[in-house]
Amino acid sequence: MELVHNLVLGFATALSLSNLFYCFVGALLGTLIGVLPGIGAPATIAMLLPITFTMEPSSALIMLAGIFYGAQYGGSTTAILVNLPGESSSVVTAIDGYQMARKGRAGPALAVAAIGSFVAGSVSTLLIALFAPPLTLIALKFGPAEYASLILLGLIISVALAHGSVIKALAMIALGLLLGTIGTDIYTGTERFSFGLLELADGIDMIPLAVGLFGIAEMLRNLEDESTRDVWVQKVSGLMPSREEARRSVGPVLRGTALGSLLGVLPGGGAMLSSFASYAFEKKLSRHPEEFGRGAIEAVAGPESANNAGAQTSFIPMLTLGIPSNPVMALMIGAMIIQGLVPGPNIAKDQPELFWGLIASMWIGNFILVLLNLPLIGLWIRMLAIPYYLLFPAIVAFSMIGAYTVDNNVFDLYFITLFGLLGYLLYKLECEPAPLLLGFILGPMLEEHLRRAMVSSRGSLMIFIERPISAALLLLAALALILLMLPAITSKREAVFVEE
Amino acid sequence: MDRKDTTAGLLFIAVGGFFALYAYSKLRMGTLLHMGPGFFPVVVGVILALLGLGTILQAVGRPSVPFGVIPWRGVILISLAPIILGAAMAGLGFVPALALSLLVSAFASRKISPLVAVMLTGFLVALSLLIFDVGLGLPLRLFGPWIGG
Repeated sequence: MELVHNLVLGFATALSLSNLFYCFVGALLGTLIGVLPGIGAPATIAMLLPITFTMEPSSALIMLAGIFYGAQYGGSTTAILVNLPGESSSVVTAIDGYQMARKGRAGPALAVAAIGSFVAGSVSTLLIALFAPPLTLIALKFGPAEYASLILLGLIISVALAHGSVIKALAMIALGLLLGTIGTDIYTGTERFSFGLLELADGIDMIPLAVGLFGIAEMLRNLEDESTRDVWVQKVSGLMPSREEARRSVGPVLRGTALGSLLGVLPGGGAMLSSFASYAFEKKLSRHPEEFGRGAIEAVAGPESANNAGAQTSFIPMLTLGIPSNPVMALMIGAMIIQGLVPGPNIAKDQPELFWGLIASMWIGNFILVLLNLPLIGLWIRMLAIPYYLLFPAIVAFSMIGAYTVDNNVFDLYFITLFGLLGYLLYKLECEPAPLLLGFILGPMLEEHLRRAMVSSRGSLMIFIERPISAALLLLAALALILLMLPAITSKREAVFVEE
Repeated sequence: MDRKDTTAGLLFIAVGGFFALYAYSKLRMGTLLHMGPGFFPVVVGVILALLGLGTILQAVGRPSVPFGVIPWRGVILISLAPIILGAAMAGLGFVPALALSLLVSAFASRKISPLVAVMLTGFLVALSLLIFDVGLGLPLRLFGPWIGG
């Protein structure tokens, strides 16, 4: 009955007036940026991190989490109504959702998307509550060798889920690892790559890096094509799905939830891959595959549930192991560090209110989102009419103030420009920024555990193979790398991202 | 030759090579038992350079994809905005520096009219003050010595 006890504790925390307020604010902000193309969850969370500095740790994490899953909801609204996926995870939803809207079934598509997301969110929240504690117990037994192997595995798997060339994604990780070494070496106090600059002695701050790579680079991409969006909004009449539509949605919602929950745990996975996988799966399973692409409700119900489940379960490795599986989780770790917490298995043990409060808030947040999204659809659509040239100075403003106020260092402002330009260059060279950020966050951890493992084994690399868990993790990493290099898989991977 | 991939490969070789060489010559390598500060950067730098080589080899024989348009006006003006804020903050103070910086960034779009840009800047400065100064009480120096603040 420990689960019940823990959930009660969680709901007591999450239902406090201030936490409820921050959960609402997060969900609202998330929906807003989900609706607006041109700004995603990672950039928003990076900009708002410094604001959370002044909040209670649990309120801060609850709000940031709300932004993350709120964006999934908002992204699907515009995908269905105007064929503009606000988030990458709703690209698939746009295919059949928009076709449904053109047939006058926008209401049911939106309702099924919201209800499917809610079911998925509820189930995966329960999964987190069930699986996080045992994982935490295992993680508490991990030594430096296991951690080093686990981080390596995580980094390699994150490549599988990036677009494009495997070699370039691996290079992005290496680049992130190197950027993470800048600053003072914790063991010897030696300054590395700081070139005598005092500002670099503490290393590069994560916020200007994330804001530049994700926020500024995205903005420059949007400025490439300033032609006005032709927003032709479908009238939404009646949200209720017909009996037939409801019947056809049940299976996809459940399967999408299962698939998304599973894929969400993988590094780099989470929401986007889950929705693609669910679409492909439902199309294979359907007795009417020819309807896919012409407004099949299964193709809305499945991917929408999957992306929400995936977004939710991607919290598991972050909460139990302290290892982020995607850029948003990396930023959540940053938020914990700002609050003076040490991410990892100790969070569940030492901060049960925070841990269970965050989990409970996800369920509450999902409920708020259903209420926010369905009745307020008209309002969200009107947001689309805001011209982009009015939006991006606001993004610039919040990025700059956010990065500056972390420690009132003007150097962080120059880093925004530097990383914005780097991010845009990488986009032009078709290199993904997400593995870079993961490498940057995990690099110092990897190096620390590596060095500690070497000290404990008296300099023998055999420690990684002699300890069974570490050996198994390394074997998985090697297997993943080999699979990635196989031409058959490579072409399949490209097909998943390109074809649909 | 795919020009995107050759460019990316050269970039990886340059950055990886720089980190590896700098760490090798300036930092202590140490041994496996007691890794020095240079060990990890040298290893990762070499790996990055090798991946760069791999990227270039992969690019051989593949057709080149054009880089596409680059919105130079946007790139320059948006890059300038944080630099202006950073450079002018100490002298002008937060309010004028932010206004100047946002005004510059607003013109990154070709579609904005000067009047709208000024109004937008005013609105965003007021909003920032409301959130960060009034709301969060952050220690910001609103007006600097250059303008007698």
